[in-house]
Amino acid sequence: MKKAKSLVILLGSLTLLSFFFSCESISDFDTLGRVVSSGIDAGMAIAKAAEPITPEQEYYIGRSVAATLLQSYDLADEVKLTAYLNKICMALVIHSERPELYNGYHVSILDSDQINAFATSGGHILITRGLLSCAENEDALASVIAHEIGHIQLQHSLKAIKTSRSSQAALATGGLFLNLTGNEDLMDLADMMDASINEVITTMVNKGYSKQQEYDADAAAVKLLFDAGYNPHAIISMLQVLQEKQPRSSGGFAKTHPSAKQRINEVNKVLKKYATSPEAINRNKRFNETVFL
Amino acid sequence: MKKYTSIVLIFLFLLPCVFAKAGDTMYVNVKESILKSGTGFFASKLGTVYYGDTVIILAEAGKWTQIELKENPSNKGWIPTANLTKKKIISGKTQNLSESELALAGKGFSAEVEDAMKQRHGELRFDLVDKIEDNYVGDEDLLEFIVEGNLYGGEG
Repeated sequence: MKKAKSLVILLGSLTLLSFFFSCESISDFDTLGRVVSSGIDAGMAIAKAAEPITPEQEYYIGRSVAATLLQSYDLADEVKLTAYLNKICMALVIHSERPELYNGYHVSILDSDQINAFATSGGHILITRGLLSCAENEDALASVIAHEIGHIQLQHSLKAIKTSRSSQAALATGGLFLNLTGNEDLMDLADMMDASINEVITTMVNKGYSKQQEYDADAAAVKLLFDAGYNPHAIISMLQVLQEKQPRSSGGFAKTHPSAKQRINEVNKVLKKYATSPEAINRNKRFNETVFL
Repeated sequence: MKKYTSIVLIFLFLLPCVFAKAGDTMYVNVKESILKSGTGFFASKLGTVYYGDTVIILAEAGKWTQIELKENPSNKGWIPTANLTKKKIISGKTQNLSESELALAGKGFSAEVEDAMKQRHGELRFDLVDKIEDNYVGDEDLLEFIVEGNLYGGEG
């Protein structure tokens, strides 16, 4: 028994070390990390523990989440502005570890005066007119999009799905020990999808992400902005505008996020490492030409 | 004791993932990925690989991996490392499937499950989701946007 314990400790340490040194570039690093810890905690069967959510499943979960959200919102018919936001999004993501996802990133505008934004694991970024109208320049707009990209890449929406459910789905999906055939099994998967979507929507719309998740998304945004050549400090000006407008906005952003003041305090710690750069004249020019909200 | 056995098994299972190297076999885990001539988003296009394609690792640099298609080694180039997985992907077009692999094809949260969701919940707005996904930025437009805005175009 003692011998077995030492072996486990040795292998465990080796695994962790290997993660730190060589697995960082592999896409499912984060998921695998969680799998290891949950495997130890719950003593789960290996088939369950070893199945991360794949990019394809992220995509289909994200599509259903977006389809649910869009029951409550109309898309704004703003072709030029939507194209502009998608270019900003791409200018940011090409600098990240995951520039493509399963089917790329896509930004659209929600026809609502609420101040809010949503991002699904499928790469759908939905920003309300109300939030867009808070941006004073392209760099501030980029900071909103970068924050949402942060949520996607840190897989925050997927973390809302109960661990028991994701391992259940993983078991069905990986199918190492199950032979899924027939309509009944498809209905089981649809049940799991239903429950998962409900959990994601509850967190995204009603409960909100944890404060730490919001701070992490802000920190990821700062790095993306900097790497893309935007002024990372633009996120502060955006948060300051939100701070002024939040009390007047009912529901929406204020309900699901920590206060703008708290976010400013946290993101300022990250920004210490980054110099301020001026907004480029051309960026301000095209912003003024495109944003007519 | 059972608990420890699980942990040892998990370690053994993860071992191949931890040490990805040249010569390894991996699978494309995104819908499609452009093969580029170098490690940059705007490097020239050499071809395309698709979901489930089996590829051989040639080299790694930063967040990019150079691969060649197993079935057609002349089809090679660089793609983001995040677009690859060690886990075999069973897709509709995967050939030479064993019986058990065939039984798994298309399982999971897939287009098939989405169809079931559509039947159950006619109110879900998948039509608008499709509209959102129609938003696409071409490489030339993006490069022009980046240059005009004095932004960075990425490495390579």
